[in-house]
Amino acid sequence: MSTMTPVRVGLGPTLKLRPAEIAVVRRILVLVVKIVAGVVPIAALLMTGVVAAIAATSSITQSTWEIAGQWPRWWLFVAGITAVTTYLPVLVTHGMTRWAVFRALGLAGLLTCSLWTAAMVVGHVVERFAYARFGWPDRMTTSHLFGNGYDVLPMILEYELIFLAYTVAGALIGAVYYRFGGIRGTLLLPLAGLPGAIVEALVSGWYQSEDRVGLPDSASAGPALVLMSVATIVLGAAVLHLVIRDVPIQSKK
Amino acid sequence: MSGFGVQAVGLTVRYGDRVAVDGADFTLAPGRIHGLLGRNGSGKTTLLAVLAGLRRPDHGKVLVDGEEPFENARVMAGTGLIRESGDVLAGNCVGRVLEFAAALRPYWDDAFAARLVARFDLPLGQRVTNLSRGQRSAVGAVLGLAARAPLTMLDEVYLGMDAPTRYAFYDELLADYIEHPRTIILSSHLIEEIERLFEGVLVLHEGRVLVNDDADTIRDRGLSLTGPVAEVDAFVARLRAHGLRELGRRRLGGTEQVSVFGTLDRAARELARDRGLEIGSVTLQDLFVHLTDSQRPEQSRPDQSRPDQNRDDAHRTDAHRQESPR
Repeated sequence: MSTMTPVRVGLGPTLKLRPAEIAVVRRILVLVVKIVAGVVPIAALLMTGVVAAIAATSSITQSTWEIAGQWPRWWLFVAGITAVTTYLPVLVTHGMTRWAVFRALGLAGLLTCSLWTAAMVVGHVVERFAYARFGWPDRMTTSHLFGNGYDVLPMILEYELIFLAYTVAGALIGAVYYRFGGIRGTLLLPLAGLPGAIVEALVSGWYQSEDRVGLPDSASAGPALVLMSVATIVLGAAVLHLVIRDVPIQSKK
Repeated sequence: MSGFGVQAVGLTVRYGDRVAVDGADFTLAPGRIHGLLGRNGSGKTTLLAVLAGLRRPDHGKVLVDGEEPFENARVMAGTGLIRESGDVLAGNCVGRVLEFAAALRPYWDDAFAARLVARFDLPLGQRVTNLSRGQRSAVGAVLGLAARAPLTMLDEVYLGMDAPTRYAFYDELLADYIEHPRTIILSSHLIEEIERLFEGVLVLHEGRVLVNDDADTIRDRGLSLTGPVAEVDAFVARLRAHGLRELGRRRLGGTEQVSVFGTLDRAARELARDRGLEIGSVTLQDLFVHLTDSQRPEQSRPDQSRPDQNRDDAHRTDAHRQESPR
């Protein structure tokens, strides 16, 4: 190689992103911003309609925006599957190492989850002020790290953790299907989906009995739950890397 | 010399019990256009996938520009493999696909890509999934050529292209190669069309290297005789009696052309000329069919355990046998 001038190649032990990785992150983020900007106003409009209908016929006793939090987690779950099954083969074929793809998709996933978290938190805060105006309570119906729309920091933490866990679970499911095929992939499905289930159980209080649903228990155990959730996500990401780090890239034939 | 060189030692790749590449040993010089030929299932696509770092060999070693390609950021960034399947985000329009490739490929040439898009008449705003097979192949050709990877590999990338587009592709490839020399590996079944581009040829057969040599050296292993039907038939009958194998036969009116595997000594050449026969070169396609024809009699078939050695032996024997066929 003497007559060609590369932009930048070679991979040292550095955390600095390479141009190709930045391009991948940017591309995914542009797409996600468009989706969030399109979906969130529609969801807000729908929720406003639901609230207006309930208020007209009955009384408002709980947060409505809480329900909206279900949609991003499943969207992120599917996005995780797509990231591995669609982006990984294309990017490796275009000259990126699996490690570089893992880094780029990991960062894109983190930022995507943060974007959805921001959308959820803004929704809760807006709801809280709107409800306060009418004197309605914005009580949560399931257990959370936060109690209402004023607990912004625990809210950020919870949504970020849950969204990350669902993304990692989706990516793991995509990875085991891509690597091991349909039958073995299906058999590994329960294991691959664990990060999402564990963090959901920890943060949202699935472990609690019906009569203990609410803030106090989760909040008091908050730091431990957060640490366990972080550990679960990191472990899930590590297993994901193990699955894809030497996966053969198949032809789409 | 520019471009990445390739070296394989005992390279073996398996899919379960099936051996796709079986102990391949070969070297591809940098800065040349190599043809990768082989029948269906001979291991061509698998070999290219290993060179591109898409899969790891099970045994043996492959070096691209002196380093193993698998998970090697420098080598992978400098290697471009365009497969028949087309590795693009299918839901995107052509413009977005090229834009993304430009961001990923360190040697990408935007102006060249734009010129190729115009030459292949590609609709930039149309989704790749909505393109015809030939147009999708043309997108692959643009990706492969404009990436200017030091090791560019095109695996049946022109399938579905109509003849004018294919010839435009060959012309663009050759012109750009002359201006920006690099190592190019072309895998194709359209040997007759593309063989003029080859400087070297690697033939795989049942996962093993059957031939790896300069294209001209390989062509010299055969010849064609053209002339009046009766004269050609009589001369070829003599050659056959001396052990030369007939590869192909074409007839147009009273003129016939026969390709044979082997070479003629001086006396035989003079005799051929005396009889009004024109001696020419044989096509790689005819030679390829001959070399990989597993239906040939056992004694003339190269021993698959030592393909190169036996192919050379067979060649020498043929050449020796046909001394002075008169």
